[in-house]
Amino acid sequence: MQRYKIFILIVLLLLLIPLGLLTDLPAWGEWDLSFFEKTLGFIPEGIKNPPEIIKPLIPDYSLDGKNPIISYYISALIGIGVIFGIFYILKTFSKANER
Amino acid sequence: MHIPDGYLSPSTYIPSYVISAPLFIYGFKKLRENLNEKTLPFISTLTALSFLIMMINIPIPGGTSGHAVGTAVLSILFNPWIAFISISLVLLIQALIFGDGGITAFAVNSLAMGFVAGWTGYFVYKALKNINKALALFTAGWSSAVASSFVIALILGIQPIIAHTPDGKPLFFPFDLSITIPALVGSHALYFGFIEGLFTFLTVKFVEKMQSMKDIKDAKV
Repeated sequence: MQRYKIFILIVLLLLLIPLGLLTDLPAWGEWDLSFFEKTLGFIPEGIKNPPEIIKPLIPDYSLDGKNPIISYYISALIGIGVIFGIFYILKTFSKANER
Repeated sequence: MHIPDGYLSPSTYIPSYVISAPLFIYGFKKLRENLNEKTLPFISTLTALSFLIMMINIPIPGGTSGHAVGTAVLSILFNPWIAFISISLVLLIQALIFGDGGITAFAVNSLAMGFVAGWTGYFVYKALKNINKALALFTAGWSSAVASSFVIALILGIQPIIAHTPDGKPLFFPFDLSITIPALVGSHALYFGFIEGLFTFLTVKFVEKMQSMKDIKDAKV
């Protein structure tokens, strides 16, 4: 692992992760339905009934009944775990490996 | 921002999938060609880093918040195709597992934050790196954020024009370009671009300092 000092960056950002919870403000455009009701007087049909293709496992990075910081950490670990897993699988089947 | 489901009309998101499909296929091929023992730890770590940096929301004046994305870092250290596919993977995980960004909107989100941001950062860095490297890194990050915000603003802003009821009520995203462009491009030019620029500068500098560049040179194109 010594070779890949770049991993320090992951640890550093993991330590900073709770900072992401300091604000309740949404990204511009990512509003609650009540925002549309309030500003327009109605909720556009498509936004009121969005296509539900799949139910997300951990909506908004928060687990029911868990402390928000713990939820956020669990979400972060699941996210990076899935990313490393996918890359590992990809590498196993990668062309560079076939040489 | 990540466009959620329900904000885009099918006449927008269906073509976005058609346009992005060949780009995904080609980019994926490029990524596979470049994945080996040496590059894998870097590409996967920088992709995980993107996922984490997107969780760190920073509030700005005007009642909204945002975050860096990290596309320019991957684009500069590797190449824009690898950045595009890696960021798309992050966006896919966010949409499927965390409901952050829509599934119908996935292609638009990834064209904006992956493809457009990646190539913008790449060309800006290339154009400026011989003048001043620090400035080139910062400007590459800044411009990648501004360019992707422009694409998102454009796609959202045309929704009320192309999809409304006969009496003119918008069916999907209701605000037009006169609102989306200043709100999104403005906030990225003034705030999030700077955060992205700083993140790009610090991360690329860190990687170059800590790591022998021999290790990542393999995947340069």
